Amino acid sequence: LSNSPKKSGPETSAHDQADAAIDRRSFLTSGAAVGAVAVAAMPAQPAKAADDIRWDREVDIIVIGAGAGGLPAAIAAREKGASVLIVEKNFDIGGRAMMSSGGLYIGGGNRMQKALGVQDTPDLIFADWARPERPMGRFSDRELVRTHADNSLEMFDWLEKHGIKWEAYRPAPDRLDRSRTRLNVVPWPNEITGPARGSGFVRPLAATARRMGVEILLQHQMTKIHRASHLSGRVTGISTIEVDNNYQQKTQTLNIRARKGIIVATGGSAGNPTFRTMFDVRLTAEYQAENSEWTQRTADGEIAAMEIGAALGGTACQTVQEDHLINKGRIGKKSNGGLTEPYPTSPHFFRAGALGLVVGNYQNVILVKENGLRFYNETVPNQDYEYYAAALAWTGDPKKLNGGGPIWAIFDADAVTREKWDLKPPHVDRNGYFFSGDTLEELAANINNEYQWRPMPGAALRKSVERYNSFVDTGVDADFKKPRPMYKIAKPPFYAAWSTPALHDSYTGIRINTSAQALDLRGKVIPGLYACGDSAGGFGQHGICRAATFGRIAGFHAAQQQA
Amino acid sequence: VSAAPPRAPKGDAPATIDSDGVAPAAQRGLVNLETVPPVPPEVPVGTGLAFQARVSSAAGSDLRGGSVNVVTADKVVSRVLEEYRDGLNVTGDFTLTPPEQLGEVTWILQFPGQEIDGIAYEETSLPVSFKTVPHRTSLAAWDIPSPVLIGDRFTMKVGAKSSGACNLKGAKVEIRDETGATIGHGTIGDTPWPETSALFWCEVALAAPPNEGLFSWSAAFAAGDLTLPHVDSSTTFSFIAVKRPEHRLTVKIIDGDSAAAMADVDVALGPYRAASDGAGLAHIDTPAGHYNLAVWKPGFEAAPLTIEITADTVVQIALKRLPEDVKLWG
Repeated sequence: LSNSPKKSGPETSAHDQADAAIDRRSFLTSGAAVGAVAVAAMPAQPAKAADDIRWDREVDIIVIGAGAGGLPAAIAAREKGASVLIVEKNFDIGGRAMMSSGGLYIGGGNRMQKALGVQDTPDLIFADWARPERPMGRFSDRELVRTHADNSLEMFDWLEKHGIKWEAYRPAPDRLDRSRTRLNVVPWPNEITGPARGSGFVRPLAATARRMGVEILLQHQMTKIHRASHLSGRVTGISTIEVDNNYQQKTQTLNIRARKGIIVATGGSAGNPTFRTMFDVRLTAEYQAENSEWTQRTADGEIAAMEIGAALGGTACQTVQEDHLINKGRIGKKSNGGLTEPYPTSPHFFRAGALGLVVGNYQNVILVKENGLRFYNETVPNQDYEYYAAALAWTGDPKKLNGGGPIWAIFDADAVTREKWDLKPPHVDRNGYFFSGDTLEELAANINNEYQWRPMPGAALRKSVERYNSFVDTGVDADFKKPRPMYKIAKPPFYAAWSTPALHDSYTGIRINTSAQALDLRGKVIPGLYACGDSAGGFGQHGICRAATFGRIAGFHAAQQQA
Repeated sequence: VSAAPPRAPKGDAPATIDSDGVAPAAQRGLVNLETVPPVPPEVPVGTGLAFQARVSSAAGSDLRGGSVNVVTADKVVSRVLEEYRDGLNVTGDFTLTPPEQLGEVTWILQFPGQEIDGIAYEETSLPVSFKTVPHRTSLAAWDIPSPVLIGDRFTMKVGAKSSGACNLKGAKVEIRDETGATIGHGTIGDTPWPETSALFWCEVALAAPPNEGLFSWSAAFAAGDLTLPHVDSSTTFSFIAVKRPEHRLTVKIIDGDSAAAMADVDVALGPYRAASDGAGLAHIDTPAGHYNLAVWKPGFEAAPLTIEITADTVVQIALKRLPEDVKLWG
């Protein structure tokens, strides 16, 4: 394969095609021309806009979200001379990427790969990520995959130029890679998210963006994207509200006009049950989005864009049958991510409530549903998607037929000793997500959780444990074929820890073309509107490189629009 | 309820007489009474009840300063109406303990006749009835050896928990076999099991069955003469009884890639379990026979195998590392 010509989407206007025809290589040559003069977010004189909105501020480009897509978008737009304002809902930058382990799928034959002897080209990247063997390749928009592949070498240099420090390539290919393209960044010093490295991506880029004159308006939530008329014309600006640490509104609406473009980079929809159940109706409210301590990922951008006509793209990519988009996670805390957590010293820890417990050996627990009954072999690996099918199956709530309700890890005092768990705060969240009892009946009665629709039947829990203990005697799990059950649950006190599956990324979102322009339901470009990262659909690649690649493309493209 | 909202206008509706000659409730100063929260229909004996009285007049008057009584069989407890909001007046807390006997109980919530801000209110009473019931109990049984040698003596522990967290010292525990026959007993002590809030426990000495097999016995709690009535309860537990060992199986566990000895690997031979030590060795004493031999360590696998033990035996098992349960995040 050779590099494909740039395309803007299946059906684009002549104007849009002209925009899209900008040679991507021109991005590089003009990139360093902008100095560090702060020109973003000039204080606009209140003025009546054509659509009768009173604009409080005015800039060339508004970026919604200061994460892995938004920060590159802002930097790229500044490189092209546009004034840029980022609005960010949280009280700190970083978004979902802050809790990332900081590995980018980036390659194409760069100098670090060459030093390792790794053979890689953009064509190989495309071939790998368009592979049909697994859903994330099978259902991806190959135009977007090709664009990702063609930009990979440039991205390596461009990110390095803007402050990213590379640590090392991971030792083996993963996901769809056949070459080693997973490159770790160097973590930001003294960051209080552990063991995440994502800070090493977003902190340097935020510093660069600020140095270049990008203004970042923290604790401002976008509530609406305005368009010249309801379903036609350019996007004109956004409305925001200032929010507190709990995302509650603090002030009146602030309307910000965007002369050239609006880039949606709000982190996806994993934390919005109403939105995500469009794709999988089982994913009801009890399933938490991992790491929502840092970013809610409530589909704010997708919803606002859809309200003015945007379509969704690549919806077949959004499956929880693949790629750890659902996982067992930690136990004993609500937002039970699997790997990275904010430390108790983090200003974000108040949203986490606890660090959670890592189960080292699932022989030490049984997993029961809200009804006190086991449902699967507890020791299956995280990739066993039949486990999740069982976990998400209905158990009897007459008022809620979708979703499977809470899952609880049940264990005893001996298991605590074997796992060397510390059950004191901040390790577990005793405010609804971790319980203890002197007996099994008392434990069941003590479970009081917002998603537990009825008290757990104590007799059912006891029966489950007694039956399981007999399997330990006989050596055979006659119900779920757990490999040689090893330990009884017998010594008091007894414990129940939240072990409900947690949700990971979003692989669908606003439909975009290869210029990251948002498309409407008829495949037409919505002039001035862009999307990237988990807010954009069509490319089932996990991680921050997809976000950064299309964020950068969006920033460059938007900056070159007519004001 | 706020501590000191502005007082409502004093005086109820202007005095009027209905056509039947009866003054309206507002003029006569009648009130409605209720407890907050409502007293449940069943209350475990000896369990303190905490509630407030809520009083409202037809006109929604501010009655702060007025009093409310609770009349029990042996005393009268009074509280002052302290808070007022939205036409509702609330007293301070009543904290009362029902009798320690089982049965029906009726207390009287009484708003005595009294004059408040120039309005004469008539006495109003509300019976508050409930039933005192025994405390529930539940059990735990642990430290049961399995397998146990047939005919051997062994001990186990049984703990009992009162739903009222009562001290259960002196209560009896019986162990019963599958036929229901009592085969052991113990008396609950007065020290809770470590880390529990109020699990009172005892140790019971037992004789193992004379035959091999899987047994399911039960522990039964008899409240007996505890100060407060409790409901009896029971739980079941299982164990395997086996013959005396004749041979020793030594299992050496190594890493299939590096051949290094592996510690802390769980080994199971039929009903017997052990864990490998620092040298990768696990020892199991067993009678002769055919057994399934299984090993378990997270992240590794080894095919289960069947083994015949006819003499002291040494087996080496190489564990194969599973593909990492990939930490794909990031």
